[in-house]
Amino acid sequence: MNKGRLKKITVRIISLLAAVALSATALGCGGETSSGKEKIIVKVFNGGAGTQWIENVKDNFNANNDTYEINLAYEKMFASTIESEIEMGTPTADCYFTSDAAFQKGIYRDYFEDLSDLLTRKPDGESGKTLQKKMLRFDDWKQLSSKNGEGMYMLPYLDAIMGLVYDHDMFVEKGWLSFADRTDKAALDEQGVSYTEKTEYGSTYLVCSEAFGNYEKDDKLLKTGKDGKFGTYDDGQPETESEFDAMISRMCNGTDQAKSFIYSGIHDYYVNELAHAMMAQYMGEYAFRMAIAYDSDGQNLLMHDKTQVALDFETNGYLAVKTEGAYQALRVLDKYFDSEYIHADCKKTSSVSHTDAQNTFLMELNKVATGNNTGYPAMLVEGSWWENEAKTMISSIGTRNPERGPGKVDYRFMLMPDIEGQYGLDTGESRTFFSTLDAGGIVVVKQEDENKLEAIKDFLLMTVSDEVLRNFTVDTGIVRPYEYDLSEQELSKMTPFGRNNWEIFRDTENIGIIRYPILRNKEPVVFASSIDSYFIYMESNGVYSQSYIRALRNAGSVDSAWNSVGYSQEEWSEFVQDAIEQGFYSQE
Amino acid sequence: MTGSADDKIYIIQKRRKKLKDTAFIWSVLAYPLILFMIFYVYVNINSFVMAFQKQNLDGSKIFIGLENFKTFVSEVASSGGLLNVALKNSVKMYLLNLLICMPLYIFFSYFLFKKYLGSRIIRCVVMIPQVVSSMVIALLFKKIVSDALPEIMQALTGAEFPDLLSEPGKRFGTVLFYGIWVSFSTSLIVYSNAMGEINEEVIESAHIDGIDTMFPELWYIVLPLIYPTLTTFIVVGFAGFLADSGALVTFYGPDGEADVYTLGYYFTVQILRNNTGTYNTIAAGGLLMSLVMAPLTYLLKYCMEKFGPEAE
Repeated sequence: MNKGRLKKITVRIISLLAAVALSATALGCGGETSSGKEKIIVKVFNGGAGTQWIENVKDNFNANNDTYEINLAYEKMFASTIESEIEMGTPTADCYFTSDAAFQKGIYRDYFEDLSDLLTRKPDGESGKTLQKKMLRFDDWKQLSSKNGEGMYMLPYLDAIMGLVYDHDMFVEKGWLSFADRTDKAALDEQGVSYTEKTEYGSTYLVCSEAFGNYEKDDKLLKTGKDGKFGTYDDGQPETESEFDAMISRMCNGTDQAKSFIYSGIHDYYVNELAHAMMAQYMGEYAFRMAIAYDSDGQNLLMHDKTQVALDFETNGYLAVKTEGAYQALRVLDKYFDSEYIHADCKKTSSVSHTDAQNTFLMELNKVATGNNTGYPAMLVEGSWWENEAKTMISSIGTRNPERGPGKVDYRFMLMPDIEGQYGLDTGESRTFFSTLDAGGIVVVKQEDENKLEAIKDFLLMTVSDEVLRNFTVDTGIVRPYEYDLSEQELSKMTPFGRNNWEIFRDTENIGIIRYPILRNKEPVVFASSIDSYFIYMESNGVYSQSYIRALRNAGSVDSAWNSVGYSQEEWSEFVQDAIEQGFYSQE
Repeated sequence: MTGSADDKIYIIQKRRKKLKDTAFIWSVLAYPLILFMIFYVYVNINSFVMAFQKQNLDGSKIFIGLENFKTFVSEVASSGGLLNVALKNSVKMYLLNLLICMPLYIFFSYFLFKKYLGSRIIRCVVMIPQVVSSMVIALLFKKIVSDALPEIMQALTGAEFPDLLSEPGKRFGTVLFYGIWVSFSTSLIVYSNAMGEINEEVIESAHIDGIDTMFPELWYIVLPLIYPTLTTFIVVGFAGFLADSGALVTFYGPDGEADVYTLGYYFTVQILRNNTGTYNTIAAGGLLMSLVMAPLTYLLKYCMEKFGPEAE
């Protein structure tokens, strides 16, 4: 082959390769699939909720659509990363399902499609409800995901709470819960529960004569929990701080020398949600919401210095973080989650991830079940999703010990105790509160092709149909913030923990759930100023901390940490000015 | 064919060749030049402009004069604030390197240079971190300090031993220790090689002149002869110390505690977190740091060259 020809061939090959590389770069996000349909890329946050549920919806969509094909991609992406991608002109998907709700920058910069027209559509067909009617707490969500009150640029994805997970049967066996005794007979009779009295080692206790609620025949009866009913999710659980202390003392100072809690050292901000819940529990939901909004609408809130202050956004909104509720939350956090009884891994802030904490919890409890073990963590601070997230480890344990395999262990959420002196501005507030960490949204990146946008909307509508929502909850144990119900048959397919989570969400009389990320991110002063978008407590050295526990640890004491909480009047004025200059609060 | 026709053909051919050469040169240079224009020229100009702007929620930009500079300076000056802590840590890191590590590096390099007993083993041991990827070494160190060490110590003493990378009051010290350990090998190689360049006859002549013990030889002969290398290390280290984040990103990602922050880490974290709200302030900070550090670096270089010992 002569030299010239060789050169030509080389040039052609290089040109071809360059062309392929350029086309691949240019068409990275779009293009056609092998089936000739146009691609729609949907990126899903592959956290604890898993992804199998959406694979099924995708298959259904793709089978029925001749023009577009949904391609799923999985990545843990947060609002700031997605917005940066769009800002740079390189979004990696058309639609994102995320665990984040802080998309306000993207909304105000027109990065996302307005999905308002979906609100009047009916995901379950003509006989079903409109999407707006299906959405729970619509007003809060509307404020969060609209632009100057107009439009709906984000749909709700998850509603997952943080709490204290424990193995109920193990707690019963160890005697760490409170058992029913003769004083409970009248209440049992009133509820129509049949029982028999038994005496063992000199102690008298009551056992069920027949299965009811979450008891099986011959189970030891526990005292009622805060809901005052036998056979529900909170039976035997401590109600007050002193009862809670006694339970922790039994588990940590007994022969097992167990540790009270384990949580991720790296993600120790998970524990923040317990503080938000405790703050709401102390103040009541109404007052909590006012504190989060930095304005109490003329009503007084109790401050830690015992004064009563009406919060006014412009003049003294910064005092919102100085309420007695905020203090009590910090105190409880310090008392239980930074105590000598917590597992050593909680303090490994650079090495123990949430999955490490889950695995340690599961493996240590398996050791308890299969032999003697000491120093194990009795409770795990985790969210509704944890069991689904840890299913590989649970299955692995199940192969060695089938009694602790998937769905075999009765994991439950332990309610936080009442705090002495807790009150609510709304009279009669006695609910126990949880706070959500995962209350993220679904956004659609601005589309040029109307037909493609319509196809994306059709797909989104499919993901909120009753059937999909029910299947999602049955498979993952996690609730989505839409109105739907589960049949007895569906409930029976769920794990005990999934059912427990569902029962907690359904008991609105006794349980309050605050969506901290939503309540906070919907306030203009949060998203339109340089105020930190997430935290209310500060570290002792004046630096905002992502984790309240670390702030406490660094400060050395509750009071020292408390003295550093909040913003100065000067800082606050700047935040207010920022928000007002951008047109917020002007009509108020 | 006439002579002028030949000339014309020659000129055309010459032009074509020149054109081809130019095309070839530009085809090679174009890509890096475009990258340079975008990622250096544009970025720096944009950074300069950003330092005087503020970005609203809707993306609109407004000119705010020196406001970002004031914010940056007030945060740096605010005792206990994040930037204040970060600046102090950066200074600590640099001073530790300069005042403690550098003499140690020189001493050990001299040890290797003189081929004292065990020098080969030391050379081999300190070289290991250089052979393995720095990321792997950092992760290995993290695993040992966070997991293995607490367990070993607990097994030995029966008492709980903290994770030194997480423990308040100890974590920054641990990061500093890691920095010293890892930079040991680089410094040892450079200094011992610089010492290796010293003419054997100079050393012998010094011995004849009565300098025959270790410290006088190091002080009067070796140090002056490797002074240019020392100058380079000190000047380069000084120029970059405010931007140095050490191994903080590997250890903590963007979630490091306030007390381990350095200025370099602070800037990196803002980017890693896509914390666009602070970009204008950090642009002002970057500009300010350049304004302060550039003349100081030149001054340091000048002083070191002017007042340093003469090799002769």
